[in-house]
Amino acid sequence: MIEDTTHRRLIDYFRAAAQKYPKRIALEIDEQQYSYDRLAGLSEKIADCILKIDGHEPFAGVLAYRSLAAYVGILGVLNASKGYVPLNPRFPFERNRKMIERSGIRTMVVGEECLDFLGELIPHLSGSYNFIFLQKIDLPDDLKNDNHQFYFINEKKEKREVEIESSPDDYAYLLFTSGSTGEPKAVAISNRNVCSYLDNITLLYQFSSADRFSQTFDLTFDLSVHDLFVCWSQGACLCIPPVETGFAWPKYIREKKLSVWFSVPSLINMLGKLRLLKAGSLSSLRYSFFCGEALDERSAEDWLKAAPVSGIINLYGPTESTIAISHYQWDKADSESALNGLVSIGRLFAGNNFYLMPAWEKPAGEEGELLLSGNQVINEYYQDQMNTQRQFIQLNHINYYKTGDLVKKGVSGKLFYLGRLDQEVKVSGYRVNLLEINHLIREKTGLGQIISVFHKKNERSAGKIITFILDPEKRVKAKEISELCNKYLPWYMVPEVILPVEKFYYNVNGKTNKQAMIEHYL
Amino acid sequence: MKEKDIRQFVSEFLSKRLESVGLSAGDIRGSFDFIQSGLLDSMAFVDMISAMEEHFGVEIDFEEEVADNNFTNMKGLTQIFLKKN
Repeated sequence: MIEDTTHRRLIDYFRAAAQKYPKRIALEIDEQQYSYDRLAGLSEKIADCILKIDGHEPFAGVLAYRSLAAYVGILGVLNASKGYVPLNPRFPFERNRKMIERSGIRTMVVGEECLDFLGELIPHLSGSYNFIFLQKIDLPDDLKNDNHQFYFINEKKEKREVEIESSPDDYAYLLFTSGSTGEPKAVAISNRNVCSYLDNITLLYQFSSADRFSQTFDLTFDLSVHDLFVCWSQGACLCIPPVETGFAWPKYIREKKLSVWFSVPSLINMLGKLRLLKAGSLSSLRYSFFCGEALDERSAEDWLKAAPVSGIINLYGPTESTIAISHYQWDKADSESALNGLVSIGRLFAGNNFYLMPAWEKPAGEEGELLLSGNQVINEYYQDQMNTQRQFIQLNHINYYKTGDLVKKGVSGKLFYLGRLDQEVKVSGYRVNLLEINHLIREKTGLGQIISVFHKKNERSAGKIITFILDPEKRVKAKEISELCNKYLPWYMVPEVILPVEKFYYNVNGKTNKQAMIEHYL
Repeated sequence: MKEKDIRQFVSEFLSKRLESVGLSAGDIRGSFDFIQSGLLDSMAFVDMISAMEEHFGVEIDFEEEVADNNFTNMKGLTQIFLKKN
């Protein structure tokens, strides 16, 4: 039975485990280990500091990368009963600045590894901010600035119990996804939303305090919330690989004896191509979760060969429905395990509902755009009426989020992903709205005709974004456009190829013919 | 296979990409890292490697190479292919 989570918050899952298993290892960064007790103590001191200096802002930021500050920073912000906003030193300043401004944060926990980045970010910020570091450090001169305050946590100081009024409707985290209008969409997930996910997933799959969890996702990607909090809800150990792990994942899994894996499915494809998925080589894995893109059967089979005792679970769900809203444990013997070579996305977690909005001439209820509502689904974008109106719809007095995903319901009731209805694509699991790229180039350059396409040479190759710019007079410099994209867009949104072209090709309906463009110009 | 064959293959394979970012084939040498430079993401890099293996008719044991972890730069990449001669 699912417990009543009405009054629980995300941080309570960590706190309960920390009370039960104070001496167990909660976090392993490379060779360094940190116990639950230590994380709890540090995060309470951070919370204490935040509460002293920050006003009533609902969010505080975390600017750190794969370091203690990143993980304890999140816990500290949550302990202060605020939602966390992960910033990303791998994103351009402009993107981070926008995230800071849109979320209204005044305080950030900063990892030392991000000092240089902070130095370059600060001139882009207007107003004054508070920066919290885990220990006393010598600030570089360019950081010393009268506008901003710097705080250093003293871990040795007596800790103080922090308890402040909070409600499950308070936000747990705020993330941004790509939007067609050129502005990222802000998704604020409440404690209620995320607790519902945690209760469901930990009820359906049997984790234990002996488990060792992977952490492959950047904190700006909501699947990282699963890594951190499914792990910490169990008293288990979260294993953070060195930054340069890249292709060394199988070796890392073996050396660290990981038992729970979670990544995007394209990682299987990548490792497979390098022949790094040797039969039986990942036998420590008990569960392997995949999410973020469609999981194809061949990838599932490749992974199972390498990890023969692992359950393979396909998760599905947009950020707006909190990490993942449906699940399916892949079973080859199941007659409805896949459709068109793609593994089923299964059934919704308890407490959520779907409706298939008929697209084209299909009977209602069998196939259509997937609409979602329920405990895990947000009701609106954060302070963004325009996108809220566009992406949410009232049906029979229920507020649904329109996923833009075309989905079919099988005879068994399981769901199958068929494709996208709009210009949104997935690059390494990240959502990219191609219109956002076109919009940016148009806005910054005044150029008129721009088309971005997502092109895959074949089923198994990595897709790339290609941006065509109509330029009959040959005035456009691809390099300048590329620099522009690098300045404003995260790395995964930057087109791999920018092609100024003489003419666009159109089909009979007057729409640009992307296929013809690709054939002619690539 | 010679070093110049590898260089030629890489520059042809990446020609459109290099043009977009304003690099020339001559920039791709020595410690130039395909991934850290932002020229390719890891998936695209693996696609290039697969194409190279096919083109030169060799199979690299990446289990061994990954441990060294410097095959993502031009020098390292060239070396692991030349070893196959």
